[in-house]
Amino acid sequence: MDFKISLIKPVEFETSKLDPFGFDEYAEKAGGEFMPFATVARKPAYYFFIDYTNWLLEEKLVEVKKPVEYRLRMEKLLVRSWMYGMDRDALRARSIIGVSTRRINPFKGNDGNWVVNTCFRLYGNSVTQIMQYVPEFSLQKQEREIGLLREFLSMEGPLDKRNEAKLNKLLDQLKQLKSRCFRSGGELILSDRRLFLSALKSSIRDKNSDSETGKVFLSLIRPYFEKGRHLNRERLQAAVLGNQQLPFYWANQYMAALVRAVDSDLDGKPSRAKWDAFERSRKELKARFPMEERKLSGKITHPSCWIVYDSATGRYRKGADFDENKWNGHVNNAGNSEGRYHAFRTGTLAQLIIESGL
Amino acid sequence: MITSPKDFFEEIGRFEPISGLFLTYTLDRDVIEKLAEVCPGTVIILHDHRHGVSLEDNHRHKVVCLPVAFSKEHAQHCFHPKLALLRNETEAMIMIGSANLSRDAFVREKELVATGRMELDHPVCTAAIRFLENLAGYLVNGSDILLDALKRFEVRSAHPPEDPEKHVFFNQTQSVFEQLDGLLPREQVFESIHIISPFLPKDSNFLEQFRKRFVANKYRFHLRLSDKTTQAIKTVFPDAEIVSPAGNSSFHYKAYIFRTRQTDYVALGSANFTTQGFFRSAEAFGNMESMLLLPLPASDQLTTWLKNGWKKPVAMADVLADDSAALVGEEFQDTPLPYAYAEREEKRTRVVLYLPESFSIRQLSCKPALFRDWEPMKDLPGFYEGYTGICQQVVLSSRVPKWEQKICAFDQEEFRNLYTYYGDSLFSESDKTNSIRSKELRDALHRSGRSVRVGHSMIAQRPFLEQFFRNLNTRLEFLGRKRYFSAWHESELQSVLNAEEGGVGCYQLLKLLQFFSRHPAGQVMAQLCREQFGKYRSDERFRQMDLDALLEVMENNHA
Repeated sequence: MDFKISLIKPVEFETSKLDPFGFDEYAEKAGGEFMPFATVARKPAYYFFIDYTNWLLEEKLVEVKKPVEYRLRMEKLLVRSWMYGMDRDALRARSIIGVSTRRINPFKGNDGNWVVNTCFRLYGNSVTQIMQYVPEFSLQKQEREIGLLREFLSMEGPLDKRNEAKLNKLLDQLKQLKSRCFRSGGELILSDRRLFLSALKSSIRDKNSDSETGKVFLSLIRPYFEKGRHLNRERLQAAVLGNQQLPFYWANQYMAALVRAVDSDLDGKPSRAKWDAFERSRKELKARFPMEERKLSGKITHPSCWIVYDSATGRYRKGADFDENKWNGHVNNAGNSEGRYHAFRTGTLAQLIIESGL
Repeated sequence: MITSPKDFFEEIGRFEPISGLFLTYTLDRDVIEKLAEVCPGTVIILHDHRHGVSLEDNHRHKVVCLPVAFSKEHAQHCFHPKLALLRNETEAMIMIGSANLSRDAFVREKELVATGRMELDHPVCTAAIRFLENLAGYLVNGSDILLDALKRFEVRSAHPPEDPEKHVFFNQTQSVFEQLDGLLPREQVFESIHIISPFLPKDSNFLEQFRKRFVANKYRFHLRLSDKTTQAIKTVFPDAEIVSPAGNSSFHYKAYIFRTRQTDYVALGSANFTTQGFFRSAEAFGNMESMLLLPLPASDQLTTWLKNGWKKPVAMADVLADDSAALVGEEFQDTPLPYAYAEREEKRTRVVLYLPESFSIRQLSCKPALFRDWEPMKDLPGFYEGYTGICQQVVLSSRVPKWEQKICAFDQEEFRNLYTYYGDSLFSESDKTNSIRSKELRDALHRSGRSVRVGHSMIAQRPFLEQFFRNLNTRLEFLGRKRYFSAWHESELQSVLNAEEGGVGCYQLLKLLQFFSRHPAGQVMAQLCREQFGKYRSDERFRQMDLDALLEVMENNHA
C-alpha cells in the first residue's frame, strides 16, 4: 500500500468568483432567502429537464452506474438538442449553460470540455424546489422518449462521424416525438410556461408569506408577474433593490461603501471620509437587519484574496496576488449611479418571468 | 511519492465508496452537495460544533452531519482534523491532509492531501477506526450512527497485513510533537528540517524543546510571508531560513519534513506548527488533529518539490519579528451562526438547535410547533433540544432578526437501509422468497406461493424446504464473492443463527460453518457458527445423532 501525496486541484463552484470579502456568496444566499431558485438556471426549461432526469433515475427507468456521468451526459444532450437545427451562435446570450463553439460530446460525461461544476449547481436543491409546485408532470409518461434516452445512454465513445450521425438521428427522433424538454431553442410549450409561471409564483409566495420583509417583497413583485413577456427587467430590479424595507438596499450601500473606502486605502489617498460613510451604512444595516450585518462583517478584516488588512496602520494594502482588473470590477459596481453593488437574484427572477411569461 | 495535483472529488468518485466518513473543522453546503453527488453510498461528516450547517436536503437520508463538541473546560478547543475514510466493496481509502470541507479549501487555498488505498484490515485503517470510535463520546448526537458505520469498516482477520513504517496518528493523549519524538529516529542529526505551516507559535519554550529533540544542520520555515516571523522563532532559530510561496500563491497546508541521507520522513496533516496544534495534546487543551507520517527514500523529487513554487530563502536576520494575528492566528474563524439538525424518531421528530452565545433570537418559531419549549442540552453550551410531530421538514424562523432555516428530518432507518441497498448486507433480500431466514421465507411463500407449470396448468405450491435449500446455496455463492466480513456482518450472522432452530437451523448452521471455514477471511464468522452449535447439542430432537461427527465432517470435508 502506497500513499500518494498531491496538491488538491482547485475546483470551481458556480458562485466562486473571486472576491475578497465573499460578497458574491453572501448575495447569492441573501437572495435565496426570498427567491427559491438557482441563478445558474435562468431558463425555465432547465427546471422541467432536471425534474425529468431525476425522475428517470429514481424510478430506475434508465440503467445508470455513475449518476454524475449520467447527469452530465443528459445535460449535454439537452444543450445539443436546443442547438439542433439552429445556427451555432443563435443561442448565445440566451441564458443557456455550455453553449460554446467547442464541440459538445454527449457520449462522455466529463471530457474536460464542459463546466462540470455548473452541473452540480444545476442539479442542486434550489432547482427542484420550484418543481414541487408543478402538479403531476405528464412528461414522465413518454415511453418512446425514455426508450430513445436508454439507447443514447448505452452508447459511449468519442464524437466521431459515426457517433455524430447516431446523435443526429436521435435528435431527429426526439424532434419528431415533439419532446417537451429536448426541443430547438429550449423554449417551453405554452402550457408548460403557464405551469412554470404559476409554480414560480407559488414558491415565492410560500417562501415569503410568514415574515414582514417577505410580505413587502411579495407586494413589490406581484405586478411584475402580470407583465410576463413584456416585463421590464430594469424596473423590477430598481423596485426590489431600491426598497428600503428590504435588506438588499442597505446591504448594497454597505458593500459599496466598504469597497470605496478600501479602494482609497489601496490608492494611498485620504480615506477618512469614506470610512465614516461606511461606518454610517454599517450602523444603518445593523439597526435594520442585524443578521445581515453579522453575515457581512465576518470577513472584513480577513479578506480572502488580493488585499491585506494591516492591523498596525488600520489600512488595507495590496496583497501579492492583487488583481487590478477584477478589483476594478468591484470598484465599478460600487460606484454605479443606481448605488447597486449586487443584483442579488433579481436578474434571474426577471429572466424567468420573461421566459415563461404569456 | 509526490504526484501531480488531484481533484479531490474525482478521486472519491473513482473509488465508488459505499460508505464515507469525513472529518473537518469547517464545512459548506456546496461541498456537501458535491460529496453527495460523487459518493454513491452514505456520507457521514464530523465537524467542529461551532461551524455547522442546517441541511435543507440530506439527499434522501444519505448525508448526515454530526457536530463534535468538547466539555466546558475544553470549549476553546477546535475539532481540527481533516480526514476521509472511505470503503467500497473490496478495500478502504484514506485521504488525510489539510483541506476542510469548505469552499475556500477547494477554491482559494493550496491544500495538500495524501491518498492511500488499502486492505480493510490494514493497520492504518484500524488506527483510524479506533480514533473515530473514541470520538463517539464527543458527538452532540448520532453516536450510534457513527458506531454502526464503523462496524461496517472493521474487519477482524487472523493475519492482518504488517506495515510498520506508515503511521496515521492523532493527538488525543500525546501531542503531535511527542508522537513524532517517538516515531522518528533518535540520536540522529538530520540533514535538514522543513517546517511548512501557515501559522506559528508564540511560545519559545516549546520551540526550544523541538530544537533540542530534532537536531538538524539546517532549519527552514516555509511561511506565507517572506519578511516576517514570530519573535519566538527568531529567538530560537536565529540560523534558520525563511521561504515563502512564489508569485501570488499562498498555502494552507501543514507538513514537516525531516531529511536524512537515506530517508525523508514526511509528516503531514491538519496540525499547524502552533502551541494548540503541534505542541499540545487534545487532553492538554490543544486542538484535535490528524497526521500521517511516511518515510520516503531520499529523492531529488522532494528536493525539486521544495524548490519549485517557492521564492529564494531569506536569512532569519533579514526578517522582522511580528506576533500579529496574521502569523499566529490558528485559523480564520467565521462568526459562528446558528444551525439545526432534525431526526425522526418513532412517534416524533427531535430537533437540536445550536445558538452561539453571542447570538440572540427573539420569537423563534418552529413549524411544526414544538411539544414543549426548547431545553438546553446538558454540558453542551449553546445547544438546545426540542420535539415536534412526525414530519419531513422542520422550519425554524425568527422575525427579528430575519432568519430562517429549513431542516430535512433525517431518518436513521432509511440511512441504514442504504447500506443494504449498496450491497453491504450478507443476508438481506428485497424479495423475501429468496430469503434464508426461515420465518421470512415461510411468510413470503404463504403470501405469494410459488407456481410450477405442469403441462398446460399452473400449480401453486409452497415448497418451503426446496426453496430454502435453493436460497441457501444461492446465498453461499453470493458470499463467496465477498473479500471481507466486517464486525457488522458478524452481528448480522449472529442474528440469523439466533433466529433459527430445529433441523432447518442445524442444516443452515452446518452449511454456513462449512463455507466460512473454507473462506480465507471467514475465521471469525466460522467461530461464531461453532459457538452457536451448542444449542443443538442440548436439543432433545438431536440426541440420537452424532453431532460432533457431523461437525467434523462439515468443517473438514470439502466434498
